[in-house]
Amino acid sequence: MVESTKKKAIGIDLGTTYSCVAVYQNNRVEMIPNDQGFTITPSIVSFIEGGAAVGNAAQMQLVKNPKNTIFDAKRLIGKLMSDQSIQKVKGLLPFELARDQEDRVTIKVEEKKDQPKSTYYPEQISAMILKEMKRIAGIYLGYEVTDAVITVPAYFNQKQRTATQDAGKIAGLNVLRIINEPTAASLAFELEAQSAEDRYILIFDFGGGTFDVSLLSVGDGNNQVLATNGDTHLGGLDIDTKLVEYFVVEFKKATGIDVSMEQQALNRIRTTCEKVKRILSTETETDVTIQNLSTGKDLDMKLSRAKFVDLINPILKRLLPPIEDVLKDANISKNQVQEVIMVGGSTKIPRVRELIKDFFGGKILNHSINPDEAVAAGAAIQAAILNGDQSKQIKDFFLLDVVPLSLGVAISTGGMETVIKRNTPIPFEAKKGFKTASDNQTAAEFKVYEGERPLVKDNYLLGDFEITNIKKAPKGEITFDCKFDIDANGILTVSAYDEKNPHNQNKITVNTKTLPQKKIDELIKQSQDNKELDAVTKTVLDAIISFEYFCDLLKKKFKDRRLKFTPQEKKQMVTSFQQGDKIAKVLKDYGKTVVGLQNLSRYMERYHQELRDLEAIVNPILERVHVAAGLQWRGRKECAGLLEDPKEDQELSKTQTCQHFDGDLD
Amino acid sequence: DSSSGSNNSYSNGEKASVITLPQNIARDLTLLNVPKYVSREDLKKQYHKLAKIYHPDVMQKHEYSENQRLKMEERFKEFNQAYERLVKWVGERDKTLDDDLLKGLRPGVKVNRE
Repeated sequence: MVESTKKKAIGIDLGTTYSCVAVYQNNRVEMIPNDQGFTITPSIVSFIEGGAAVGNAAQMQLVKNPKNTIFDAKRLIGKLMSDQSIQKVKGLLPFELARDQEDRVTIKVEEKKDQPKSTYYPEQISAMILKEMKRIAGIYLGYEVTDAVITVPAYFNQKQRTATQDAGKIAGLNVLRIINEPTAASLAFELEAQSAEDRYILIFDFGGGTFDVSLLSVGDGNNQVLATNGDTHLGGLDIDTKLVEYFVVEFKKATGIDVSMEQQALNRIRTTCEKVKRILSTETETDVTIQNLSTGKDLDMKLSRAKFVDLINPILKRLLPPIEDVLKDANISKNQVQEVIMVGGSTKIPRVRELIKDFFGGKILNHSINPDEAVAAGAAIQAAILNGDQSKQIKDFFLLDVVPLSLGVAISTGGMETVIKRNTPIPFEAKKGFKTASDNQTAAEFKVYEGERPLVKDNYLLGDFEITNIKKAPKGEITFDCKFDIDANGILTVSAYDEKNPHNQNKITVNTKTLPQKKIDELIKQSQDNKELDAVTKTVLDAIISFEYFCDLLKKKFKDRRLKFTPQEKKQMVTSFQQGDKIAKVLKDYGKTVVGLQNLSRYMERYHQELRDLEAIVNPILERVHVAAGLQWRGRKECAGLLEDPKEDQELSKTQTCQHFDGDLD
Repeated sequence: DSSSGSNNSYSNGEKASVITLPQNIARDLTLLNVPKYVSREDLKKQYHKLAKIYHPDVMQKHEYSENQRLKMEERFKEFNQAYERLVKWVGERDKTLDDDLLKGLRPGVKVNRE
């Protein structure tokens, strides 16, 4: 058999906390591993002197360089600074948010020391992550990938969708389609099931940053979305935040020290909380220890699973109403739901599972698909479908999607006149008549909104246009025919004409209204110009970061009270990490001179040599003190993740091998 | 109000509801090629059958001209509109039938909805 030479299209799950990329080839979905061999990559970008690090390298900077390490871009994309959700998180993020002239959210980062901060749009941050996914897919497939399907939460509004599409363009991708995450998960599930029988399934997708529920009718290759609902601001990150708040209070009770304004301490607590949360998925109690959290005081306490559930109860309470809503919207009773499929990292929390199981009267939940990978797998399937893949398994596969939020026009009372109701199948076209609201009105404004609230002020404005030169007449006498046209991509075009004078018409394609096209073109160009440079910069940055990280590890070991160094060893350790800092600086400066690939290999040789030299001195010492303390020294391997708590050294081998499955993913 | 003779009547004189067929619903039934008493499941199956031919994503696999594609997409939008209306109508129709069945009207009428 032969395979088509046509380039493959990839599927990307651009998650709040982790991203994942997959491709459909050789009649199956293949998950694409990153440079570290993991199929999930942290959705984090860190700006350090000389460039930006993405993924695992950037994650290492979270604690060290919190002000310039950007996570959560997905929850900022397509939003205005004045949005309530942004106002709420603004103070909690370690990096600085600002607004542009149009009130759009921007992120301020320090690219070079002592120079004014640079401004980035969330689209650009997401583009950097997408570009990284594109890069690792390119390495895997052996050619440059351009076509991609990207997933978004089902409950994303039009602006957030367009902004994500723009991020794809800036990353140099041709975005074939933006699809909903739960729908993608359903495709992955159905490909596995290959069932001809018609069933109702519910996808419960609770990830790092967002929560989605979708009800589908599936079978025989059909994947019809019946209803979808959710919360774009509810996920594992919010659970972490609840824990952080709790520990800040407890730490103050125990020591009198308030760390609520200490960014570095907060980030250390946050990193620990994420681990605590994961441990409590399997254990019923855990120790929480952070040495020297602030002014020499340790955070040292226990947390039980019961207390944990108690703390996150406000979040758990928000999980059921969306399920009730989709059932109601689709007019299906809960007994008719044959399968409940759990997706997203946060569904690993036992209490979440219990809650859903109880809601469905003790029904066994389906965990057959990997919650971290299902969404990307589904995106890859849709990418193959749109790419015209003829393979037997997916030939008859297809997806019928719906509009997630109602679309309508503002009327003179400030009310919302819905033209297309939520959960309407797409593509779709609907018409509605409007009339003038006052006597001798010469212009009519059409403001297009999205949302479920009766007043437009509570919904999202998508765009507006005007029909002018209306003939003077008493109110109500001039009528307009307004048409909403939504295509299979979910792109909405609204047009209206004056019925007395059909030539008098106007229209807008609504979702061009996030960043102006000129700005997007500029960003695309900027991103392309740096292509080759980026590849070199990335390698250099990763080397510098891991070297620095190794030095940090040495310092941490030095401070670890369980490790007993002799005076001679102490001296050697101090000399080593002082020397290490110097070398890091040399590597940094040297890094700036690296331009070509040949240059790069010489640089990497130097880096490896320096690291080996340093290890030759410290490894024997650390080996000895670890053994003396009944611990194990795992050398540079301990740098593979963020290590906050030396106690976790024993946990490490477990967390490392589990990292693959343990990430929060949307 | 006579209590004798009619199939659709009950001893207390109450009659079974008449299922009315508004013009646009009649048109929709014809468009999707389904009968008046189509079950919700069969309606869905027929819709899926049509979607497999007319959905824009499916068209990627065939060599249609741009013009043909647009025409088929327009057609599919019409199917979607009809399907939306019919789902709602079938729901209301079944509710009426259910009420009748509960009251013991319409002996012998069985609507398969599973």
